[in-house]
Amino acid sequence: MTAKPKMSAKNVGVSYNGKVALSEVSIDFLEHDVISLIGPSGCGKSTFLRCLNRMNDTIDGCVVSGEIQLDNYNIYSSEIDPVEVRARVGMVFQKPNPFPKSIYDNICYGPRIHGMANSRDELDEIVEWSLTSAGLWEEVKDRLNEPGTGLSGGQQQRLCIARSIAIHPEVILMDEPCSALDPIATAKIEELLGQLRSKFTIIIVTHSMQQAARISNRTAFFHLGELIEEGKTDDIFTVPKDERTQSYITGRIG
Amino acid sequence: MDNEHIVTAFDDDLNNLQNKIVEMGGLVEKQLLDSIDALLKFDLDAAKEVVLHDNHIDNLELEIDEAIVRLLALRSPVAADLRSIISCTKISCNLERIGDYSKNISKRTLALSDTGNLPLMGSGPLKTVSKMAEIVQSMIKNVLDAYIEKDATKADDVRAKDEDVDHIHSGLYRELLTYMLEDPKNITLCTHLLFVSKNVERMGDHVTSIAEHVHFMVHGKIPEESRIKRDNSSSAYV
Repeated sequence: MTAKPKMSAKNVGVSYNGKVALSEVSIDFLEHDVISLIGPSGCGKSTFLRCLNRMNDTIDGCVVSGEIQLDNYNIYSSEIDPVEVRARVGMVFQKPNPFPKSIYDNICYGPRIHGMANSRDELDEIVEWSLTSAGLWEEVKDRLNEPGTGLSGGQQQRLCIARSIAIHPEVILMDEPCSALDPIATAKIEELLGQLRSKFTIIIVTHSMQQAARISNRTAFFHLGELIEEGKTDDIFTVPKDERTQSYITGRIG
Repeated sequence: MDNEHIVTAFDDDLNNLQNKIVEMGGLVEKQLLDSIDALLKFDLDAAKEVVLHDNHIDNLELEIDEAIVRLLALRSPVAADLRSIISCTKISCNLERIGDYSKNISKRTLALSDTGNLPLMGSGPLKTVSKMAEIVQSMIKNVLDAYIEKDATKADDVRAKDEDVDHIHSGLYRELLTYMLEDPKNITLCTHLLFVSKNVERMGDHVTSIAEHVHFMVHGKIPEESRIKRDNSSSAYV
């Protein structure tokens, strides 16, 4: 029996002012999968990622076609509120972007606007749970009122992950979350992803093929706006089916 | 996938590795030829040469190992590149073992100089050993071609050829036993020849294994259908 997908894309296409950036992408994401989207710059992987929580809505001239379903709801349907979509599908960006607020308030921002807590105690609980899940609690528990921007890059990125999971999303999108981090901070994030996968479905865009191989159980390769191949990470990195995948991952096209 | 890597030094490394495997294969082929030649002509000097030359093969294996460790550490190869490199570790290991068997044949040739009755009855079995060796030698040559050309079909053909070697060895086993039954004085010579024959038969097995690595290198999996084995000597009792 095949498991029901958490999210699935059907014939998704994206164009910016009439220029096609992505065409005919169909892919399923199962619950608790960690899926890496890889491909050369400009292949459409970030564009596709941004479709998954309607981040492209904010870009003028961007038109998304096809269907993206989250638990059988088309997230582009006119009855669906994009804010609701983004609460269920969180996002972590390339550069750590904590709000210019305290560590505590960074985490509370989402739960507050979504009315998830009724008391200070409940907020405290959310803050501790989120920071613990993001592997940051021990490092910051004594300075929760200090500004988030005062943390190191790696800590800031984990703060952003903590902030995104504070509102209990079901899917987390990550757009090259380690590209601005050093190897140690990268290792910590990778370790964290391994733990987070038990609670969330994680879709990650990465330029590091080795990272994709290490952290994900499925990998999708994009090239020139097309999804070329998607499959088990083990298979993609040992016996890819498509010649273009082979050429990309072995360093022959970029 | 014949197009080149963006990092050309990676291609240089891979080519260098392939050249070493081919060089090693060439040496192994020659050692087999020389060891059988020395046995047939009972040329003790040539046999000593074979024993000495085995060093070259062992050294090449070490060089290949070093090159592979370096490649893995520096280039993090994946997919076809990774398969080709992993296959090289196994192929070089198999080639080294084939080299050892040639060396062993020559050691036995030297030992036979003490038995004295070689011209008396050796010729029949020797011809058979020589025939086996010819087949194995062509298998080595073809499997190296298959490796260079990344031709899995050619490798599969080599794999199938091992059946003939097994068959001849089985026959020779029975033949040598009858010589031993005829006259106990033949036992030393026949035992050595039996080991020589077994060595050649084992070489065939190693070539078969190389053929499987070539198949893996090309397709990412080892050949599915099992091989027909016709060496019954391990289970035979006369």
